[in-house]
Amino acid sequence: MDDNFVQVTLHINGQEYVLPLDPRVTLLDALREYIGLTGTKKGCDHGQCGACTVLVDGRRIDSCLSFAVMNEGKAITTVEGLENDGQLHPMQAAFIEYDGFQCGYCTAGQIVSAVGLLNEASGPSDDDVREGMSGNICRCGAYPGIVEAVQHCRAAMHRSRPSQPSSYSPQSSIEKADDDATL
Amino acid sequence: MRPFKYIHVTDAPTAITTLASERQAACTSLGEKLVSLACTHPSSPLFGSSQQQVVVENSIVRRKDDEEHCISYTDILHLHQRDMLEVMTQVQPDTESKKYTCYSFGSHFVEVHVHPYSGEVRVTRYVAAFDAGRIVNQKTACSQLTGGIIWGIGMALEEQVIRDERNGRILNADLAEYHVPVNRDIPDIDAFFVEEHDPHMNILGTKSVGEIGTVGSAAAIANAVYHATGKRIRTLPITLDKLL
Repeated sequence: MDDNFVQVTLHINGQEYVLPLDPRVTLLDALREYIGLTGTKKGCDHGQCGACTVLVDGRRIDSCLSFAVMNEGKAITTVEGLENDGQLHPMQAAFIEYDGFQCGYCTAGQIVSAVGLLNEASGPSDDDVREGMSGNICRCGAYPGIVEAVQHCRAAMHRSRPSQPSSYSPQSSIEKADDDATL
Repeated sequence: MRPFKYIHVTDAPTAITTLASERQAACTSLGEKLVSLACTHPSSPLFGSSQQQVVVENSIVRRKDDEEHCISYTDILHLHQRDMLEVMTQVQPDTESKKYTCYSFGSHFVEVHVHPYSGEVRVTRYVAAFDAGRIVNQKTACSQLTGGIIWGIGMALEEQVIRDERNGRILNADLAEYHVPVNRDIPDIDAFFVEEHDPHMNILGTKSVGEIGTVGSAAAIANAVYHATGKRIRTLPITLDKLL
């Protein structure tokens, strides 16, 4: 083991991984190259496309912009961790039902990002979902399907857990002035 | 059956069209070969029958006038001690293709909002109708249209390669600086097909779907900007500075 390497313990999808890593290894590379969880994709490696989105303690981040060592002691969720005992996560099922993908390359990032979005305070409208999902680029143009999938999943999850606070938040419903600008 | 395909133009949008013709030819040829094998083996219930007297359906070959005289595909192969059957066919464009143009066609209807102070253009509504012959898979074909329309929105309003004119080097060679549409840039899109089965293109009546979504998209947006502002912008993308 190189002198520069450090022992890093990562909690990913409920499992513990202990890895000897150069401290400069990104979380994305740790997931893909060292652990073999290749569901998370490397689209640009510069934090510009969102294909590498993972959840860290329920919050979505670009894993290419985070070093693996920075995420010790946190609960990391990748796309592989969304399913529950062989059952698809509701968001995954919604993406299939409402056709939220074409080539599939951005899809893992879109789904994880969408799950993260549901944990955030965001407005109820389609435009709010569009705004919240704009960190995940889709060159195939599956955006309309993605928005539909997120909205239907959000409604379904809200129906099945009515005691949980919804992700609707009054302050996000303030209309942005430029949305309605006309001559 | 293992179909072999050779086309001398790599042309993804017409794949379904050429494949449809080629598959049809290969299946016809395979059917004829199966019937021939069924009718020429002495142990076959169809021994001595001609091609015209039998019909191929539901994985069996049977006599048209007597359903009792039939044999399954697998039994035909067993009789001839074969594991598989292979045919090779070739399909050429015929004289019909010289008489008709067989292109897909689309119409785009766009509403834009242009900010009076900043010149920012936003597409707020999009409706488009397309004729691409018979649609084999509605879901994926509609997705293809939507994707093409979104490419067109990017082409009209956002995408631009910026070069260093001294040496040709591309200056915005990453996703942060070469702007492609993000989710917030795209409104509800209502894209649909007007299905018209084109009998001249091929046996299935299919036409290209791959590129038709983009053709006309940027033009419709530019026309909408003209309608909103009175300004004809003749270079793409239509950025804020061109409208101020």
